[in-house]
Amino acid sequence: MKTTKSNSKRELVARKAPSHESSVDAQHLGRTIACVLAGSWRPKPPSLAASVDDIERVLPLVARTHAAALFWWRLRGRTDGKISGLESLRDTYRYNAVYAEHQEARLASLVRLLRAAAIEPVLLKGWNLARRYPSTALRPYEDIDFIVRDGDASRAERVVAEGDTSGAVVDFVHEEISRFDAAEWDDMFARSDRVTFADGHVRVLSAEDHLRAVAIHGLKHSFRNPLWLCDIAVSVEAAGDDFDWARCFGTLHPQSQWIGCAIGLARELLDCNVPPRAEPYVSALPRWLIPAVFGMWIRAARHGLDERWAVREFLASPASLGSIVARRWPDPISEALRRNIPLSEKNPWQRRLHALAFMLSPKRLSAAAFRKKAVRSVP
Amino acid sequence: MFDRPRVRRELIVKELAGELLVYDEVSTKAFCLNESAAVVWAMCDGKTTLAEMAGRMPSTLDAAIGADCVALAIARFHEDGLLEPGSVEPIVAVEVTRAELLARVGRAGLAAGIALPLVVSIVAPTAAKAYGTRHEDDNHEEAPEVEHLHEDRRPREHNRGRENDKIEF
Repeated sequence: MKTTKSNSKRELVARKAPSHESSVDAQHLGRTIACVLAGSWRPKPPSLAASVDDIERVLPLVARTHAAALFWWRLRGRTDGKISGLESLRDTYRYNAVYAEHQEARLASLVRLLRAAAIEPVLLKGWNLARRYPSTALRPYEDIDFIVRDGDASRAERVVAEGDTSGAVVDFVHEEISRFDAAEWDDMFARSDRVTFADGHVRVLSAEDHLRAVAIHGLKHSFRNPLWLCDIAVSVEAAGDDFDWARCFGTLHPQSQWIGCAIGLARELLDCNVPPRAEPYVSALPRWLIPAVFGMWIRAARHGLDERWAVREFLASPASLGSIVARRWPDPISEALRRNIPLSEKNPWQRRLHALAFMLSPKRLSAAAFRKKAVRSVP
Repeated sequence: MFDRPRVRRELIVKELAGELLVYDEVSTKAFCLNESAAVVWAMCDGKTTLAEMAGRMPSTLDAAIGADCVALAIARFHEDGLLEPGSVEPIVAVEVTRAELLARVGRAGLAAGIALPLVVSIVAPTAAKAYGTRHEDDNHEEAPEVEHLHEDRRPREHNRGRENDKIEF
């Protein structure tokens, strides 16, 4: 009986531990995840220096991310010790492999459906990224993302809704293009590439337009999914001699700086090889950026979007309200994009000032602490 | 009429490093077949009888064991809903369990490298609700989990509630 009690207590502590874990620990876990993912997208990943103990510590977290198969790819064949839990990542790889076939079949039928309605879609993200990896099993995706001619989006949505698309999740509206990109549809379409796909072909965004969209999409979601940073690395390393870096970065501010930061992150964290021609465009990273990305990886892997932990923690310790709000506060990366400002050393101070103003409003404060959805706007 | 099993046409099949992966888009379940199960799978064309299948099993297998291996694999395919309804009679397939077959093959058979047919159910990774950009209100509950349902013939109820697990990202 005594043992049972002590076990229950241990379980409680273990369950509670993640939310109180120090940021130092999150940084260490984040660094280990980055270390394992570095170069993992290459057909022959580089040798790995991380210890078995460190890998086993992050493995349960990585298993909850879409980078699980990449983790397995990087660790397969490692012979310096048995890594427990690795087989489950291999199963994810297997699942992804056959699911990718299913997705390709869906994609082919969607393209046929849209063409039959005289809509020529241009594909982005998803399969267009997966095809860059050594195996599509390494880059799972669910949503099928297209852009279509201005004004065609509603009609395309109707065509998909009325067609037999076997439950495919299709998205025609992408903020990274509609809100953050100034390029015209006609120009993007003219630049788009025609690639062979299944038993036909599909149009995909040009490599330059695509890298720009993928970088901004990742930042918009604070790179909370480590796979999105691998996407940047894959795209940068796939850029050939004819890749137009000036067009990719564009002339819009602060977008070009954001893209420079995204590529800088991929270089810094994942050892992405940045071609010399791209160097002048890559931005210096503000000091808070890497810790913020690590924090997002760990937070998303632990809590996902389930914010009920806030209520649980408050009930257990009402005095922790301030800390709960601080942790639920919008992260500085997505906040910079929302406010259309560069990622700079100033961001954390700007956030604190906004937070201070926010804290002075009890109504907003309680909403921020307990609303299911993360706080979206700051006064 | 009921002894010519045929795999369902709409299943998605992929070969990967000596294994056969099968995805059922209706149940959104994936399965991994080892080499022996894949041999039986390839014969499930709706024309080959169970007896013919047993005769075509690798020559290292004793004829009786070959028939049992076929029956075992067919039982798994049937239980997992991978066969065309009506192409095989359930009773044909469930007479032997993996444990019984293992006992019959014995150590000598295992030493000779006889691999019993194995069908592993792979549950979809649920990782992704954490990362979805469209489903921000979804709740993320569990880490991805893979269940080897058929190695010990656990009851099907075990998998209830996971039927709709899907990758979302």
